[in-house]
Amino acid sequence: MNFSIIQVKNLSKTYEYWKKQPGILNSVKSLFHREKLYTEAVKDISFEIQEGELVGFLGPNGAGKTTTLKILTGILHPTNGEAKVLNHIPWKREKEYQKQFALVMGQKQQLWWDLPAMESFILNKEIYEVDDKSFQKTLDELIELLEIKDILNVQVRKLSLGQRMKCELVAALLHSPKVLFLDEPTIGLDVVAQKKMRDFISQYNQQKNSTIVLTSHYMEDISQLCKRVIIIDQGKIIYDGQLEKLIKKYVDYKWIKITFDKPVQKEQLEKFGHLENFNNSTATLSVPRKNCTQIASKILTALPIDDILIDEPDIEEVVRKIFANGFI
Amino acid sequence: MNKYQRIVTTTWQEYFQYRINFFLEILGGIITAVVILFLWLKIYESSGSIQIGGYSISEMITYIIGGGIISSFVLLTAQGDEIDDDINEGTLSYFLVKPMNSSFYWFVRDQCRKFFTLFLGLSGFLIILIFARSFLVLPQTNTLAFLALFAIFLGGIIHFILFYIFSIISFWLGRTWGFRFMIRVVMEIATGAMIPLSLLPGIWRIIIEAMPFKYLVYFPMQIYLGKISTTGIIQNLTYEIIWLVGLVFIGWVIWKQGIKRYTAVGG
Repeated sequence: MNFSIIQVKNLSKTYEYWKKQPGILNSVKSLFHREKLYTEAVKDISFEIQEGELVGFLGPNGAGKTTTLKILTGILHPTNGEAKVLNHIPWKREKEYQKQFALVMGQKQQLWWDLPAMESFILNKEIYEVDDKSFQKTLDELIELLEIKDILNVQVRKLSLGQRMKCELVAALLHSPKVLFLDEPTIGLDVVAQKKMRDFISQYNQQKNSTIVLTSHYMEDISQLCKRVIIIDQGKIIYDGQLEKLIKKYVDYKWIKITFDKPVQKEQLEKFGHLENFNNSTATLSVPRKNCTQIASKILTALPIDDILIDEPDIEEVVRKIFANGFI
Repeated sequence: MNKYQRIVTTTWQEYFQYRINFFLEILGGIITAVVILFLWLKIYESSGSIQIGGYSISEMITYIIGGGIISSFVLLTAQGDEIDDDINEGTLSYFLVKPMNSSFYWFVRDQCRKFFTLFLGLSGFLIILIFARSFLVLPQTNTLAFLALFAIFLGGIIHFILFYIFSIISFWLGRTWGFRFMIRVVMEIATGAMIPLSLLPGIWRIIIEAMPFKYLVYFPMQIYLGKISTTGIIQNLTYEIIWLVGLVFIGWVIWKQGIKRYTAVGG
């Protein structure tokens, strides 16, 4: 049996806050009377993660992804339930635990804004009590992997967002954490930078066998990186398992993508299946998984085909449907 | 190197980036001190007396310059802003996941800032010291000089903790610069940097002497000028330490509650 690095059991988190209505008058009123509101950010979730896994947390804004990460890193106390990471209870914030994990938040930075990133690296070295030799080794590796040699001595505020995120990653990885929590690490990055970030994360996971938990609402991040995905919506886990299985099990259709030699009428296609997308020279049809090959061959004989391709539907499409239904 | 030593060197480098802003802020303090200095010269001139409230003109000039130098590292507008920002913007979360103590981190950075601004203040006041050199009074013994410095040092810590407390109430109140502005307003008078507190009228003197701000300027300058008895020094130092310990305790309690709240509602 595998050793679970992260164990979460019946975890819940309820936020309390005061109702705030817009307008000056209401602000004055709120000085005398306030209404307390509750939001259940996470509702009774349970899961386990094994060593070396790269798991993606997927969900729309406000689904509870970040709350879960904050509980696992000890920033938040849960309202109910248990969690153990590396055999530590995260919210006790024990030093031995803190030295073994790292957190990167795409929306918050830990680097010192007015100094070169190198200064923050050295400071983290001391905070995590990393010895000189392993610091130098890790740093050299990371610098090479992320290609940031030239920007180490530039003030952080002068870096581009992509460069800055790379440096944030380095700062978080210098103490060689066993578990890495990445909260939307690619947010705001351009497509190229996103890809680089993804390549790095996957490479790092394979080389170091470190456990990585990643949240994102970019489908690409999840589909490229994670074999296993935990889909969370309105505080509940609605799917936990392999990404491929999700598609196979819950999506009973495939896509046939066609390019035509000559323009074709819409009506000619509609009898074969549901049209997802159509213009005069190309079309995408969604057809039942079990007889998609027959349909494809029928289309091939009936219409002037230049090219035809049978494909899985976009993962993004799948998840959009899941979120729209709220369950699987 | 220890982690807090590294925080010191990194902080120094950061403050070096802000040197112009710090210097300008201190320049403002120097101008204030010069105005007060001229005001007192005028008072002495028009009253025609050699002493006012037991202070000769030389003693008064020394007192005001001393108060000005001390003010250069305690009367800063941004005091506590960093703590407020870290809590309100959620940067505190990064401290919570690291093996470090954020309160001690802020304290270390505050000490760095105090030394940095003291250094700038001293170099700024150098010109005034040169002009006023014939008036300057030196402490009678090295012990007095040392005790005065010790009192200032403790006062500096009290100063940090007071602003710390009024910054971490951010856990409940959001932004707190209004509170800290009010403390600075009180401090302008209550440290004694403008007027020796013994010259204040009746009830005001009692109220202001009941506050801990006198340990920043008034008390150490009394020691420096030899205007307080040995028993007085021991007594006041004891009170100063009691203030310090009491405030540390209050700060600790508020921090514990605040962090409980932070980890309940999130950053």
